[in-house]
Amino acid sequence: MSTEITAENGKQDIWIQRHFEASKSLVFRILTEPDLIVQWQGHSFAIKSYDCKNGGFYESSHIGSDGNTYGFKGVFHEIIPDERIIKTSEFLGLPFKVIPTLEIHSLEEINTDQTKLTIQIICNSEEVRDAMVQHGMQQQFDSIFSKLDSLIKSFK
Amino acid sequence: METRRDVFQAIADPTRRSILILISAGTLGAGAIAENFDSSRQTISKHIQILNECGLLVKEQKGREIYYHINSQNMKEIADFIEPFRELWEAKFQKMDKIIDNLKNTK
Repeated sequence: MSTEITAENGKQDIWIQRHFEASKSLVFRILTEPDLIVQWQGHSFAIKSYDCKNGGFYESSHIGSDGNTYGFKGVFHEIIPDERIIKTSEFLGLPFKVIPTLEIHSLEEINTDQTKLTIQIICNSEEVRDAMVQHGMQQQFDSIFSKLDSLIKSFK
Repeated sequence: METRRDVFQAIADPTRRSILILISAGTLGAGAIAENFDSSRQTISKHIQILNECGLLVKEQKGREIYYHINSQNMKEIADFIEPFRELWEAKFQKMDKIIDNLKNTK
């Protein structure tokens, strides 16, 4: 099983797709239950606020590889148990405000014990999308840049 | 290969990454960019200069002000960038696989 990422030219969204050996309800639990979320997010990930219902607010924080604190906040627009999560997501910790993205998480049953997860992240422009994918604007800061750091070292 | 290394060095700096993200939202003048940072104008304009030299920014003279926007084409040419992004998600998903196994076993 591997993760597929699509970011087409001329578009302002990213598609992330992955299969899991689990039922839809189990994948849904992992995506929405706070004690499970902290297990698959990075080690510095902390939930500050979490109200997983239509119109509910959430906020999280994490430490970037540069030692600074970053985070995300947003609102759950729609939660359909075992089917779909639609939320906004604003990246926090930069010296200026950034426009939030819209994220749609969909679950599709392959069979009773196999589920396909599709995450569509919609940005307000192609440039913002590219900045996010290529510069690791969202939680990617840590690992992308630690990898880049070692890549840079290998060039030296 | 020379240019490539320059690009990686350009974006290795947190302030320069922030500048790229800021400009990704739209064309901005040098002064407006600097206003978003605590560092001095000179420091920020040095960072802008490095990004410009690496071809990540496009410079535009409008009257007396210089404006900058992202060079989308050059950003895309750093094709390897999607791979770390993918790997990061894959790492998260593998942790989710483990949680799934644990939950199945405790049933």
